[in-house]
Amino acid sequence: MRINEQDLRRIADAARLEFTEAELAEWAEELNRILQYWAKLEEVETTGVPPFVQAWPTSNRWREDTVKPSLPREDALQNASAVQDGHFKVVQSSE
Amino acid sequence: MELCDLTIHELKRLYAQKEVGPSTVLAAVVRRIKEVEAGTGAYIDLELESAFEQARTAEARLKAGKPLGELEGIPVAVTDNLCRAGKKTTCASRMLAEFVPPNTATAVRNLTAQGAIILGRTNMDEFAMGSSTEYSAVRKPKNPWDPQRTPGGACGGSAAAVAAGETIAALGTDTGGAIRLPAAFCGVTGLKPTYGLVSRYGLVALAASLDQIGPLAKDAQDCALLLNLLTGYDPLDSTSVRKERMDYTRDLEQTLSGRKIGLPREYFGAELDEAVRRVLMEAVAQLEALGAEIVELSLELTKYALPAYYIIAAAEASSNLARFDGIRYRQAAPVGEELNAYYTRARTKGFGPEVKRRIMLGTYILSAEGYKTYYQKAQQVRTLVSQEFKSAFQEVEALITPTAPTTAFKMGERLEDPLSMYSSDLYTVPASLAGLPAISVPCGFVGGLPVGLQIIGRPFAENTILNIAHQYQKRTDYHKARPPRQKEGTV
Repeated sequence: MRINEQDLRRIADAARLEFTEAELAEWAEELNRILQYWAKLEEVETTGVPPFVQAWPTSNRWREDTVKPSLPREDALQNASAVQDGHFKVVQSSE
Repeated sequence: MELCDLTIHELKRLYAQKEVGPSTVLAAVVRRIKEVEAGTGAYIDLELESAFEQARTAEARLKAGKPLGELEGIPVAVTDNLCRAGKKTTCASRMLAEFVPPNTATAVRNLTAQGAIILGRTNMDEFAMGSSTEYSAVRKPKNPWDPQRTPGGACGGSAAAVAAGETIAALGTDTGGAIRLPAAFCGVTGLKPTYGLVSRYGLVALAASLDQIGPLAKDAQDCALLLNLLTGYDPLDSTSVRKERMDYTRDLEQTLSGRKIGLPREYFGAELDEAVRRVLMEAVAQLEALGAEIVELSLELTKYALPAYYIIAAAEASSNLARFDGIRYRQAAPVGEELNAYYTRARTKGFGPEVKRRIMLGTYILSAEGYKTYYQKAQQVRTLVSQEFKSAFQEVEALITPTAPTTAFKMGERLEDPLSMYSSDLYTVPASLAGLPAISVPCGFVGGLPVGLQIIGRPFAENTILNIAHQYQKRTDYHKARPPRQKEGTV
């Protein structure tokens, strides 16, 4: 399975990354080389093999629903790029 | 040998006998840092002022005969992906250059609660993605044994600092070998615990189904001492296992007589450097001389572990790193642009090349086209790799392998070739996929560069691999060798 520059543009868009045209050409070649090596897994017979889910069986861990102090708002906001009225401030995302 | 070259257990004995105090030890460590750090580049930042203050407190407790913590007055370094409240945590990335977490990682808290002195944050590959620490956005650290070579990665800073005597011990994190590989390249002892044994609360995640925090130290005994403090159920980490705490120093002195240790053929194939193989076979002979019964066996899926690992790690990384949107991690505020344009600008500027590569690959793998061919297939192979280990462990108690196919490679040599960089992890990723504990111990030299022996254990059998490592270290001196001193400005 090969990816072309158009696929890459779509992936970059989903990943919220930007590349120049020259970078895209370079990346397409490089990523295809990696994907081609990864395709080596096709050699392994996996019919009926369940995908790995977790290392050790664990079940739900219940706890009492008790009220405890939480992170103070000021601390929660300390890394915000912008704050307004005690909230993370972002730019408008829809009309 | 100077004080900074000693182990935790040696310093504890000196403290107990009142032969030397924490301030003197810290001063020796700082002297060494001043002497070599410009060359090694092991640290991202040092916190010497607070370190000296803590040393004075420890000194006073010691003098007053007050009860001491297990690590009272012992200098320790931590990788820069472990959060500490109020201290910068950058993952060696521009994305987190100004990030100051509000919380402290449980693993770090467990050490400081026992009196450990935190020296500073060590260098690493950006977001722990890499095998040479050359992907650090801060600077490229050097191998203390040869400044032309990398210390390995991703936790190359921690390994280099321990090797060079710039700390007594360090914490690191291991996703596919990030503790073990640099431990091997720098000639120190590094342990990746069983998945779930050490709480990861406060660790900036790379791949959540693989990440574990563990110690890098000067010998197996120190790793056992540190592991004793790192383990324990933590309700703040949903993958932390509920197990009774145990004393990992308990079995160190057990004899290896009659112990069955497996030697998997696939780890000694064509990829393994011939000189490294010879050193490894000497180590095997030593273990036999200690009474272990060496059993050759086969783990046929070994060569598929590397692609399976990188597929899963890339997928999980792309998902984990989606949170870095620029809004919540102290980036410059948006200026008159649309939200997605802002995200894209912040991420494009904040991430380095390897991180972008893995995000791109991971995003593709988790897309409708890539999912079945890559992600699902890799998870199926992971099941098989895991089963293969399980059946091997019905026959033997532990497995011994090389930690890496070669000794430390040259700076720049693999930087532009991701597949060759990834291949350094060939022997460390299988145990990661299966969640197994594994330790790397120094077992000799090739051309003046350290070689690492990897011991892989059954789930939660850290006591067994530590026992084997300790018995091996009692018979050998490789872990006591220290790198030649690189003077400031000579590299």
